Amino acid sequence: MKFDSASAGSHLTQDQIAEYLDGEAAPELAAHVAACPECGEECDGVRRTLQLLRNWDAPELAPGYESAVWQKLAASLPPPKKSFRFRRPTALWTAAAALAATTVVAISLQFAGSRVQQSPADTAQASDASQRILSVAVTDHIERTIAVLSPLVNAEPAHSAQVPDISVEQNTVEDLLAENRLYRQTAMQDKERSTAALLDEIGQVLVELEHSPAKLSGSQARDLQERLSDSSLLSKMKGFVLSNPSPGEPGATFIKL
Amino acid sequence: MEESDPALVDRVLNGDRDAFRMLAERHSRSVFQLGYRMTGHQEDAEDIVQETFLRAFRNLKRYESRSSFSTWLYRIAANYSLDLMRSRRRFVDCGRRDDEPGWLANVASSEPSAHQLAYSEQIRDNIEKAMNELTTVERTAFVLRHYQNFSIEQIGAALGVGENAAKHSIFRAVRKLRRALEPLVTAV
Repeated sequence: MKFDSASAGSHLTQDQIAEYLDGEAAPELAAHVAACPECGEECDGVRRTLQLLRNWDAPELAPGYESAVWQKLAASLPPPKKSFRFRRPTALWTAAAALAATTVVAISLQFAGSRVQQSPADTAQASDASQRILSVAVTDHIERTIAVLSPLVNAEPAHSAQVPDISVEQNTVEDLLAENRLYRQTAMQDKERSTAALLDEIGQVLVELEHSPAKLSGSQARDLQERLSDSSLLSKMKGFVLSNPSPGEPGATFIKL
Repeated sequence: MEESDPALVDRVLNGDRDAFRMLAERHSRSVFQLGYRMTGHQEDAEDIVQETFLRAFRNLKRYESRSSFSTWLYRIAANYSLDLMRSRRRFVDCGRRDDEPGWLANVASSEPSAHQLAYSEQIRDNIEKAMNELTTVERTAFVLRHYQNFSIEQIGAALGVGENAAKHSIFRAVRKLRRALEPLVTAV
């Protein structure tokens, strides 16, 4: 702040005193402090008060305090989350997911293509197998999508300092979206209408996320949260996972995410 | 060479919990200092340390390596301290009596030497009493500015107020502290 020489007869404001003590004052301001006994006394008093306060430390901590903090903290930290796996998707993981999705589509198309040469019993068996493969793959896909969407739903965008940064999720969303398209296509092929409809809804949200700015504004985050809660999309996704548990899993594993 | 904070954060985000241990051990003393200065109580400061690191762990993906990790951590600590003080203040205000004798009377008459003043427990007590006279917002703004070197903008963001309001909170705090500590300052 520039010191107004026209008002040099008046005393310094709090702002100017702070500037002066921070060593950022204009030369005119410093000259005023030197010439004005009242301002000089005021600045000196504030400086000495701050010096005194600088000696104020917390009580001495015992050696090994850091280890004690960690011991206590480690017991309270949540177990490593499955979702950590998706925060930095590796090329290997992306390739594996794409391969899985492609395999499901390929197997499904193979079953569909061979139906004309098979007996009705064979056709029914093939259709069941195709549905099971699709169900397992889609369940896994939906579990991973829940892991990405849940933190966004639970974020608190009201405070400007806590604007959700979704850049990490966006890396994952790109992969999820590619898989989602393949699974939806397969579900439609297999006439799994309810699964296709769910994947369609998921796809719309993923597309929105993919095209959102990396940092959502408060209103954008709220819109997304409202949309997810209005459409009960997360509940539908969790319902799908519960009714189609992965082999060897109890079915409610996503609750840990 | 010591691994940088952003590198450790990246490792934690990839599931390496030991990297979080290193971050917690590296910063726990300074978070304790901040918590103590904000609340004036050792137990509260210890609580702030634990809660700050828990919140940091849960929200680590929101940390942006453009800013300093310690500043990000102090903001979490300051926010939690604010909540804690606001809840505590309700009880303090209920129990406070305006006609209690001023604590400054004891200080002014004690006439200790400059050396004793600098290190005595009495100084600490008096400073803590003066800090307790500040409002929650004034105390937070002052501590963040003068002990943690936060910018006015950062203080405004931590408090959820504009820069002007943040600045004036600091001025009010300085004015009150100066008045309260004047006998000590004069003695020094």
